[in-house]
Amino acid sequence: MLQTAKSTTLKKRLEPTLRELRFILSRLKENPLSIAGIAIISFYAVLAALAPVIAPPPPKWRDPYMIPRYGFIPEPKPPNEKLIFGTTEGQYDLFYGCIWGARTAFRIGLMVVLSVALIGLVIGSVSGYYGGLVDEVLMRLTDIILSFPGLILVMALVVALGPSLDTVMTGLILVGWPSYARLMRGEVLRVKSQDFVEAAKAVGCSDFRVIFRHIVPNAIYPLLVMASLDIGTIVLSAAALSFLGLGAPVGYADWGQLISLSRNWIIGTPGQPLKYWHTFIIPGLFIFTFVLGWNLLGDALRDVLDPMMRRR
Amino acid sequence: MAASGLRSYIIRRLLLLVPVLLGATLLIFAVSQMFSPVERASLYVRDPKQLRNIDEIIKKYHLDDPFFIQFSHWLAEVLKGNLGWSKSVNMPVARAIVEFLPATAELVLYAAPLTIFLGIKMGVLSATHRDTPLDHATRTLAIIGWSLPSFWLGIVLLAVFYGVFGLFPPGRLSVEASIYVNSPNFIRYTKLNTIDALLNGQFWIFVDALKHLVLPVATLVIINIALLMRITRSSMLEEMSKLYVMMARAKGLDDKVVVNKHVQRNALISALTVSGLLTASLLCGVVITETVFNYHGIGYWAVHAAIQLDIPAVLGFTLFSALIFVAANLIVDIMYAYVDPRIKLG
Repeated sequence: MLQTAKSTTLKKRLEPTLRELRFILSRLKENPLSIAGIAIISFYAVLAALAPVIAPPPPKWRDPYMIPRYGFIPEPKPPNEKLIFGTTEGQYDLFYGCIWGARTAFRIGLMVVLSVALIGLVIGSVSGYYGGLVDEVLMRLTDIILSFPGLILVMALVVALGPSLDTVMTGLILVGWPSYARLMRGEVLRVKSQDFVEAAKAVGCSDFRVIFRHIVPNAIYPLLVMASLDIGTIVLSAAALSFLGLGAPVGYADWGQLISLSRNWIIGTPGQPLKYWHTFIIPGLFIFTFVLGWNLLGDALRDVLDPMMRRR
Repeated sequence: MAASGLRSYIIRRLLLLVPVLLGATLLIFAVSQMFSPVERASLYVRDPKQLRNIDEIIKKYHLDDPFFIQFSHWLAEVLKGNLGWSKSVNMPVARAIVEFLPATAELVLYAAPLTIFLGIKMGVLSATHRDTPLDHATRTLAIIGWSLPSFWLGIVLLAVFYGVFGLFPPGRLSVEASIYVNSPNFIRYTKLNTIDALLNGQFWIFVDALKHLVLPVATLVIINIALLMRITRSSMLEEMSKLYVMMARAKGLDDKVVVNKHVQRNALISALTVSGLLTASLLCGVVITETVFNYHGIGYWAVHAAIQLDIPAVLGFTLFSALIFVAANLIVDIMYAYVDPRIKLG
C-alpha cells in the first residue's frame, strides 16, 4: 500500500520533467539538422560499443587500445582486402585505430564535459547563492584562468604534468570549468530572488536543499546547452594536442595521434602526389564527422532550450 | 563630461588589471612548482659545467624557500625580463620570444583583418537574407568550418595545393629568398618579410613570402570565421526585431539604409568584441597552424619546446600569451566604452 503511494508521488513529481523531455524530443525531431546530428552520434556510439566485434584485437592482445601493427617498415601501405583502410606509418592498422578511436573520442568528450559541467555547476551555484567573499574569491579565480588562451594553458599544464592522454583530460578540465561557473552563477543570481526560493527558505529548507532542489533545476538549461556545444570543441582540442605529440602515445587508438603519424606522408612520391592519402584523409574524416554530429545536435538543442525562441 | 567619464573608466579598468596579472603569474608559478628544486635549478643552466654548483643556483634563485618568498623572487626576475633559458633553441626565453614574434605577427596581420571582414560580411548577409538558400548555405559552411580540425584542414590544403599543384610551399621563405633576406644587402626594418621586401624594393621576395603565407592564412581564416559569423548573424537578427527598426521601416525608410545605418551600427558592437578577442586567440590557432606548415613563428617554437619538455620556454610563452590576451581584452573594453556610451555609466 505504502509502496504504491510512494510510486505515485514519485510519478507526480517526475511528471513535469518528463513533459519537458518529451517536448524537447518532439522539437528536436522537427529539425532535420538535429536528426542528422543524432544519427551521426548514434552511429559512432554503435561503432564504439561494437568495437571488439567490428575490429577484434589479435588473440592474447594485452591492451585493446594499442593498435596492432603488421611489420616495422615506415612506409604506409594502401588499403587492400585484408586491411581495408591500409596501414599508416610503422604499419599500424588504420581501420582498427579508427574504430577503437571512437571509444577514445567518447571517453575524452564525455568525461571532460561531465567533469567541467559538474564543477562549474557546484562552484557557480555556491558563488551565486552565497555572494560576498566566497563569490569574490571564486570569481577572481575564474578571471585568472580565463585570462589565458585556453589551449595554451592546457599545453603548459600537460607539459608540467607529463604528456599523456590522462593529463590532457586533466588539463582540459582544469581550464574548462570557469566558463561554466560564470554561466551558472549568472543564472543562479537570476533565479534566487524569485518568490519560490523565498518560500522554500521560509519553510526551513537547508541551504543545500534550496540550492540543489529549488534553484539548480530552474537554472540548469543554459549549462546543458553549453555542455552539448562543448563536446565537439573538447574532442578537437584533445585531438590537436595528440597531433602535436602531447597526448596519446604513438600506436594508441586515437584519431589525432593517427593524423600525427601521417605527417611525413602528406606529400606522396613524384608523379603520385596523393599516394598516401588514406593516412590522413580517413582519420580526419572520423574526427570531422564526430565533431560535426555533436555541433549539429548542440546547435539544435540551443534553439529548443533557449527560452526566447521556444514555444512559438 | 563624456571624456572624463571615459578616462575614469580606463583608469578603473587598468587598476583591475593588476590583480588579474598577479594571479596569472601566480598560476604559472604554481605550475612550475610541480617540479623539484633541482629540476627548476636546471632551467637556469646554460652549460653542463654549471651542474656541479647546482646548490649554488638553488640558493641564488631561492628555489628552496617557502612558496611566497620564492614567488616574490621569481616575479622580480620575470619583471627584469629573465624568464630562464630555452634549451630547445639555445637562447634566453625573452630573446626567443622577440626572435619568433615577427613571423607570427605577419601571419596574424593578414589572417585577422580577412577573418573579421569576411566574417562580419557573411554574418550580415546571412541575417538580412534570413531563411533563404543564402542563409542556409552560409550557416552550413559556418558549422562545417567550426567542426573542422585545423591541423587536418592544414594538411589537406598542403597535400592538394603543394603536393598536387606545387603552388604554395610550406615554410616561411624559399632557400634563395632566405639567403638574400639574411644578407647584408637587405635591411630588416620590421622583420615582417612581406613589408621589408617592399621597403627594400625586392618584389620577388614579396611574392615569395606571400606564396608561403597563403595556406596558413587560409587555414586560420576558415577555422575562425565561423564564430564571428554566428555572432554577427544573431546580434543582427536581435537588433532587427527591435521597435526602432520597425519604426524606421514604417516611416518608409529604404531597407538598405535601415540595415546599413541603423541596424549594423548597433549590431556590430558585439562583433567588435569578438573581433578583438579573435585576434588574440589567433595565437592558439597559430600554435597548430605554424606546426603544420613548418612556419617558424612563436607557436612553432612553443610546440617544439613543449615536446622537448623545455619548461621555461613553455611557461614564458604561456605568460606572454596571457599578457597579449589581457591587453586585447582591455583594448576591446575601451573601444566598447567608446562606441557604446551606455557602458561608462555601469
